[in-house]
Amino acid sequence: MTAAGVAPAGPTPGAFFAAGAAGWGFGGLAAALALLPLVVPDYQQVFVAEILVWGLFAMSFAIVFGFGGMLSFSQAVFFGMGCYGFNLGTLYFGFNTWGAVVSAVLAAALLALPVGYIATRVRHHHFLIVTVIISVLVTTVLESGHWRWIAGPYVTVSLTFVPEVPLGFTRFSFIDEWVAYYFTVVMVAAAFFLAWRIVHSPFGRAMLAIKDNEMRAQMIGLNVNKLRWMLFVLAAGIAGHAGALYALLARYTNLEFFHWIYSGKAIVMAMIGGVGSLVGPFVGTAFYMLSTEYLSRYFQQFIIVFGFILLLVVRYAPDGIWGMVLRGARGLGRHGQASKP
Amino acid sequence: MGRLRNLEPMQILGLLGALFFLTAPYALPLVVPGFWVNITAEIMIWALFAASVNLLFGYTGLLSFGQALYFGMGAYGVALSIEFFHFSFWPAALTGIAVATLSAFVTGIFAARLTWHYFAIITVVFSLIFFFFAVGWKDVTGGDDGMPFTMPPVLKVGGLELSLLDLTFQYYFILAVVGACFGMMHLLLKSPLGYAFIAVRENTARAGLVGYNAYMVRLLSFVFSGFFAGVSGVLFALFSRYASAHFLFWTVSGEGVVWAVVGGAGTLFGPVLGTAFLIVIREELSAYWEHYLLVVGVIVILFVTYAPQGIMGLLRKAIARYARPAAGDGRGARP
Repeated sequence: MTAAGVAPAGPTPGAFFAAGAAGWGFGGLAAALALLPLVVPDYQQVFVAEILVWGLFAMSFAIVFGFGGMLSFSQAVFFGMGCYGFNLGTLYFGFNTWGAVVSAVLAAALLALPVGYIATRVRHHHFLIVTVIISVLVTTVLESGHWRWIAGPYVTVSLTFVPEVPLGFTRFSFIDEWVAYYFTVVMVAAAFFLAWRIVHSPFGRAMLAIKDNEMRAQMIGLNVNKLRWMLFVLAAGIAGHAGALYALLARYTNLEFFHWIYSGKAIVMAMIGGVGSLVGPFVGTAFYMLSTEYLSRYFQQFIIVFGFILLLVVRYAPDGIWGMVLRGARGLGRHGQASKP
Repeated sequence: MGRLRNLEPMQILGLLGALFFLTAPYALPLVVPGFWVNITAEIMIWALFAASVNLLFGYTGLLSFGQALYFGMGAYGVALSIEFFHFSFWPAALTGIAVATLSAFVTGIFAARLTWHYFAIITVVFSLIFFFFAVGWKDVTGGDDGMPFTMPPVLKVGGLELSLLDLTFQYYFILAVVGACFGMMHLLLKSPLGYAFIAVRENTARAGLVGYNAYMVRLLSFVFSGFFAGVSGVLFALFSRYASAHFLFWTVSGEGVVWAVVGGAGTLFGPVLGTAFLIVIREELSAYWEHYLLVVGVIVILFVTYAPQGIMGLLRKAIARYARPAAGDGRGARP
């Protein structure tokens, strides 16, 4: 990093070190996830898969907020649209699992096109207000008896059959937990990789420039509204993907998932983990879900505990748990390099 | 007469508004069914609530989605102190206001440290915590069903007994309290502290360099806003004669934000216009269509996108275009 805050073009020793560390980190994580079913029992595999799915959802919020500076309360709508698109794909069009996942992503992204067009036109507080209102509007439409034909039987659904994944000449059935587990891991990893490439592409850099100083970004020729819109739709697609994976995993979807409360959940999970990176939301989700799983036995109102945790995080570590870890690691790295010229 | 002719168009509108609110209990039944008097009273209460949101959002630049917390605290302060401690009218009302202001102070200590994104989130979290608390503690709060209470008389001197059960008296009581609060808010905003709010909104760093303690200014704004929300909560509990956990819910806060924004954030009387506009729409539409909420949502989105200054801003623009040149005082030619 130079004084002006511009990253040098070529790979520097520091960047190379970071990239290498990231590579090792991801390799180790992939190995751990791949070997996990050998160690833990079936139901815990599903729990891990669930953490990954909600983590992906939290990540979609982190993309909008951490990279685009947009505090979106409508993320749950797109998660819900993913569930809806998945159900529509399987039950109405009769797609197989792959097709249903694609239709889920498309459904979320299609809704995000008009929503994002409206929402990204306004800034700051007004963006927040617009997204809240949109999520209220969507839930109102879906829960009314008036527009039954929109919600149809595709919003609150329990799948009556066991999903299968056709792959080449064979098909894997979700009746085995390990199939559900590996399918989720692979799909989440694919979405993560895609998001990783996108936020580290020139597009991602442009988004960071807009977030830092919108006027400056406009002056260097970026089409600010269009880029914000693109990022919004992209994040919505990822949220829809998470919705489809959840529908597959739980074989159950609910109108509740459209509700802004679920956006709030994603926001809390992502912020505890750290919104400045893509890994942070997964860390935050794991922390949130593990602690609710084990704390809720002892007392009911753990939302109070999370209120205070969030307060502490926001106050003392705005970059979240993962940001603290990274800072710690960077500190160690700097001490290690200090002796070298 | 000469003085009247020199009034600005905005002042004329203000005088007409004051005249309307002063004569509503007698004038309104001549034109529309009698229940509109009660709706006007309700509009005044909610307008005070929206003004409390506006004090934070429009003047200090902090968007709170948890203002319902102080509204509900005020309402429960009244209801609980009448029902459990058998307070008479004035002590109960003061208890409600005190509880709301105190809780605004305690939560403000944390919340005022934060600015916009984080502030919005933390206020939602605070109000959700207390909402779940109120729903859960059903024995005392009545939960979602709410708790009704018996109304003590406002004043009892000899044979004279004034009570809110008399609807005309109730209307003027609400008008007096809301009017006093708006007067206070006007004085507050014209005081050095009011300018400090605006300085912090415009540029926190610069306000700090000038010598303001931005945290203190935000905290004071938060406490004042909690005070006004508490007064409106007290009034609403007295008006509807019950308190419910639903008063603490997030939708109440959201409505306050929407009213303030549609009316015009950052203006003293904008929230009154926004509240009146949206409540009249609600009353008129909900009779015909159960999904009037959709209309409200679309209206809000249109306002936020195309007229972020709200009704007040539209009004000012219209006056600048049509009224100023006609006044012929040369100010119409202002660039």
